[in-house]
Amino acid sequence: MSDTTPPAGPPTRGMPVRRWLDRWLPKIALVPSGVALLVFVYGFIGWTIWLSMTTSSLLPNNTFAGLRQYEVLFQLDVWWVSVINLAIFGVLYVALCLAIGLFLAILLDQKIRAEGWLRTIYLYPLALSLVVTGVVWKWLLNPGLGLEHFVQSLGWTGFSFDWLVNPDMAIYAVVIAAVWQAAGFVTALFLAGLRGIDTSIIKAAQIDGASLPRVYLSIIIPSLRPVFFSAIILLVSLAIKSFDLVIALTGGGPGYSTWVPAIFMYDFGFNRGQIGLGAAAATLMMAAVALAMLPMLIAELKERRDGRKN
Amino acid sequence: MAARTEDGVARGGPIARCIVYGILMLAAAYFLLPLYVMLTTSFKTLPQIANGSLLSLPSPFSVSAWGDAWSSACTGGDCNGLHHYFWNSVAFTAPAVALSTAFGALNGYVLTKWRFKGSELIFGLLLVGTFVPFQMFLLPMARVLGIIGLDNSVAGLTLVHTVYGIAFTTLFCRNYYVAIPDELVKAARIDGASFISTFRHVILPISTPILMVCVIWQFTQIWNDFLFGVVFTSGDAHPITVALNNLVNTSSTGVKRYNVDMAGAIITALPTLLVYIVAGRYFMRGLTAGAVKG
Amino acid sequence: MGNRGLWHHTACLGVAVAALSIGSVASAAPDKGTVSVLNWWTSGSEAKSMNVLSDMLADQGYKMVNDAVSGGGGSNARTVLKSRIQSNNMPGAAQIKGPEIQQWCQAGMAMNIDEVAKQQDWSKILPGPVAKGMQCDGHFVAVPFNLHRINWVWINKSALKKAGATMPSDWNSFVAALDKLKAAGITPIAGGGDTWQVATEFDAIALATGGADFYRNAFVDLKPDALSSDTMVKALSRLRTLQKYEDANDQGLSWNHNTGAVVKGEAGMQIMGDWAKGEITNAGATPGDQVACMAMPGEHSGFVYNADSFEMFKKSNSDKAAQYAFARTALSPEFQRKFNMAKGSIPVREGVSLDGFDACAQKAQSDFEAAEKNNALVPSFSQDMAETGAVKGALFDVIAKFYNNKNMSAEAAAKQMASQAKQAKLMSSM
Repeated sequence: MSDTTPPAGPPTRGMPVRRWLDRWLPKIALVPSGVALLVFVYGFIGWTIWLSMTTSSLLPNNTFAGLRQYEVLFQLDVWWVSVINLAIFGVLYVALCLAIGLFLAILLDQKIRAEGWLRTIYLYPLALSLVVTGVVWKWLLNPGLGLEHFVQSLGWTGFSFDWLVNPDMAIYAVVIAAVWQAAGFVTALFLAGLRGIDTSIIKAAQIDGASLPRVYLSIIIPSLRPVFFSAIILLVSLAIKSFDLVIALTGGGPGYSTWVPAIFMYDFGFNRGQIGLGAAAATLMMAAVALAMLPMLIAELKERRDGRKN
Repeated sequence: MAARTEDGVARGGPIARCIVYGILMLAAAYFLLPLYVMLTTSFKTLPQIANGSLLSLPSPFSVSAWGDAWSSACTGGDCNGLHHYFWNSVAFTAPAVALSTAFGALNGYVLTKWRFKGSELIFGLLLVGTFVPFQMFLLPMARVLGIIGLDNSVAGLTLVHTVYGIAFTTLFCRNYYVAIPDELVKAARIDGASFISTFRHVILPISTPILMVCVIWQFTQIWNDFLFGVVFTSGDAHPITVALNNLVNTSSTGVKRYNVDMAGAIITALPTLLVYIVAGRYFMRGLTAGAVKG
Repeated sequence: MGNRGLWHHTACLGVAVAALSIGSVASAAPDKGTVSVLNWWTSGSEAKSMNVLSDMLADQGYKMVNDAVSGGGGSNARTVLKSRIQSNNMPGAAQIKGPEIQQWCQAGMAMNIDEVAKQQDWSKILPGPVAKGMQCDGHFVAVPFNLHRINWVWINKSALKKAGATMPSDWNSFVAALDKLKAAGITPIAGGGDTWQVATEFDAIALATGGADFYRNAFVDLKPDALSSDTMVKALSRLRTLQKYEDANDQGLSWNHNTGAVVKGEAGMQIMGDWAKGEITNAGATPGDQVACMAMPGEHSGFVYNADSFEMFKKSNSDKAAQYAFARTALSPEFQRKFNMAKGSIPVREGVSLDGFDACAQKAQSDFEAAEKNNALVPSFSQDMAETGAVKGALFDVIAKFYNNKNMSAEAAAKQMASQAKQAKLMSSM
C-alpha cells in the first residue's frame, strides 16, 4: 500500500460525493488536533522564542533586545549546572529504566506465580503524586534519618550513603527516586512486548542449539525495537519535564546543585521576574531536544514505512 | 497471549528459579518501601514521627490523621480537608480523558489507515510537542484562555488537558492500529463502508484494549497534574492535587504535620491506585495487544 | 459489542459526575462587594487567621474570596498572579512584599489606596520604613499585616546547661558556646544548608557583623564597595565558621525539622525568624522559657524585619469598596492582635496592646522600638524585603555556591556578590 498518493485505497466506485467525502474527511478529522497543535504547541513555542529576544522581565513585553538574554544566560553558572544535570539525569534515567525494565520483564516472563501482584507493585509508583513521594524519598535518602541511619543501627556502623547531601552526588540520588517511579511502567511495556513475540521462532532457534542468552540477545531483544522506541519517547519526555520530584526531593539543592532546566525556567520566569531569560533557556533546551530526538524519530518513522512496503 | 501456551523461554533448575524469585522480591521491596513509609507514617502520632525511627511500625495506631486529611485539614482558604476537592478533579478529569482518548483514536485511525502526503510529518510534529516542559506554556495559555473566555473554568482546564494529552493518545493508538491488517479496512470499504462507518464498525470494536491504555495513562497524568490546576483554577475550584500541595507545603512559616500529609497523599492517589489495581489487567492486555508494536 | 456498552457507561458516568460537581459549587451573594485575595498562607494558623479577616469583612457586608496557593515560598502564588494578569482576571489583593510592590506599581497595575491610608492615618500608625515600602510615587498601594524579626537565635537552655556553656553575649562567646555543645555531642546549630535557611542565617550575621549602615549599603543599595568590602568578607567567614557547627546531614531538611531538633535538645541552637515559635509551641515548649530567644550576637545590634503585605490591584475582578475594606480591616487593632498572636510576629500597627503575647514577642517589640530610634532597622534581603526577585536570586546563588564549595574563599564570594547583583539589577531594569 502506498502512502504517498492521497487515496490510500478508497474504492473508485460509488457516488462522487462519497468519493469526495472519503478523500477529505480523514483530513478534516485531523483538523481539530492540527489546529490545537499549531496554536497550543508551535504557536506558544514561537511566542517563547520571541520573548527570549525581548527585555521581558516581570511581565512579557515586546521591546526587542537581540541576543542580550542569551549572552547573560551563558555567563550564569546556574544555567550550566542545570544543563549538565539534565544530561546526567536524562541519560542515567532513561538507561536505568530501560535496563531494569527489560531485566524485570524477562524475569517476570518466566512463568512466575504471583506475576499479577508483582506487576501491580512495580506499576503503582506512577499513580502517586510526586509532591509527597518526593518527601518520602527525601527521608529515606537522608543520611541521618533514612537508610544510612537504619543500616548503621543494625550494626554496620561503617555504612555510608550520603548522596543526597553531597553537592557532587545529589543528582544521582534524584535518579534513584525517578527510576523508582517509572521503571515499573517500562517493565510492563517490555513484558507486553515479550508476550507479543512469536514463540515458534524462539523454539526453532533453541532446537538449532542456540543458548538462552544467545536467543535473548540476537532474537528477542532486537524484536523489541518498537518497545524501545515507545519507552524512550515516554522516558525522555518525562525526564525533560522532571520538576516536581526534584523540588520535593532536594528543592534544587544542596545550593543549586540539582537544578534542571525546567526549574531554571520556572524560577527565573516566574519567581525572579526574568521572563526573557527563562524564555531563552526554554528556547535553547527545545533546540537541544529537537536535535537529539529528530534523527531517532526520522529513522524510526522511515523504518516503519519501509517495513510496510514489503 | 493465548499463543504462548508454554510461557517463558527458560525453565531452569530450582536454584535458578530461586534466584529469579529472589530478585523479583527484592525489586518489589524497592518499589514498596516508600509506600510502606507513607502508610506507617500516616497512622503515627506526631511525637512518634518526631522521635521514632522512619521504618518503625505505628504504636499507638492512630487513624486521626486520615480523618483530618479528609475533612478538617487546612487546604488553602478553608480547613475542610480534601473531600470537597475530590469532585473538582473528577469534573475535568473525566471529560478530558474521554476527549483526548477520542481524538487519539481518530488521529491514530487516520494516520494509519488513511495516510496522505505529509501525514507522517504531522505525527512527527505531534511527538515533538510532548518534549516541551509545560512550564513554558503557562503564560501564553493564560492569555489564550482569557481571550476565548475560558480562564478559571472547568471547561478551560478540560481544554488544556485534552490538547496536551492528544500527542500521547495518538502515539498509543497509531502504534496499535498499525498492527491491524489493512485488508480489514480495505474489505469494509469495498463493501461500501464510508470513512466514518469503517471506524465505527471495523476499528472501534477491536479497540477496547488500546482505549483502556489511553484512559489509564491519561487518567494518571491528568489526575496527578498540579501545574495547570494551580494556574487555571482558583480557590474553591482547585483540583485535589492543589489542595494536597496546600496541605503539604505549609508556607515557610507554618507547622508540619507529616501524618496528615501522608494520609492526604494516599487519599489523593486512591483513584489512580484503584485504577491500576482493577484495570491493570486491561492495561497489560492493551499493551500486549499492540500498543508497543511498531 | 459488550465493550461498547462499557464505554457508553463510562462516558455517561463522566458527564453525570461533571454536571453534579459543577452544580454543587456554592455561590453566596455578596451585598456590598467582593474582594479576591491571592496569598500563600495555607498552614493551619495562617489560614485560620485569614478566615478571621474574612469573617470580619463579612460582618461589614463584604465578601472575601480567599485564594490560597502555597509552595516554594510564594513562587506558586507568583506564577498564578502572572497568569491571571495574562488572562485579564487580576485578584483584588495579592500577597506581595518588598521592592516587588514597586515593580507592580511601575507596571501600572497597582491601585491607589490613599483614601484608606488617610482615614487611618497610616503615616502615623506605621513605622517609617514600613510605610515607605507600601508606597509608590508617594501613594499608598499596599497594606502591611505584620512584622517578623529575622535575626533571632533560638537556644535550648537545658542543652546549653548540659554542655556547660553559658548564654553568649558576643561573637566570641557565641563560638565558645558552640564549641562546648559540640564537645558534649550535641549538634551545635540546626541549620543544614538549604539555601533559604543559610541566607536567613547570613542575614542575621551580616547585621551583627557590619551594622545597619553596612547592611543597607550592601543589600538595599547594592553598592559594590560594600558588597565586596572587608566587612562582607568577615561576615562570610563567620558563615563559614558557623557551617562547621552544622550537621551536613541536615541538608535539605526543612526549618521546621531543625526547630524540632532544638526543642528536643538534639541540637543546641537555630538561627531563624520568629515563625519558629509556632513549631516550638507545637512541640510542647514555651518560647522564651525552655527555648530562649536571643538576637544574633555580634559587634552591632539591630532588627532585621520582614513585613508581609498585600498589594491592591486596579482593573481587577474585585470591587473597590471591598478592597478598601480589606485594607482597613487588616490594620484594625483587633485583627492585628489576633493575626500576629497566631503567626508569631508582632503587630505592624503601632500602639496595639501586646497583652497575652509571649516573652519573645515582647522582646521583639522593645528591640524594634530601640532599633527604630537608632536607625538600626533593616529590611531582610533573605525574605525578599530588600531586593527584587532577580537580585535576591543572584545573591542567593552566590551564597549557595559559597556554602557548598568549601574551597571558595570569602573574598571570591564577596566579589561575585558584587558583580552578579549588578548584572541581575541591570537585566531586571532593562
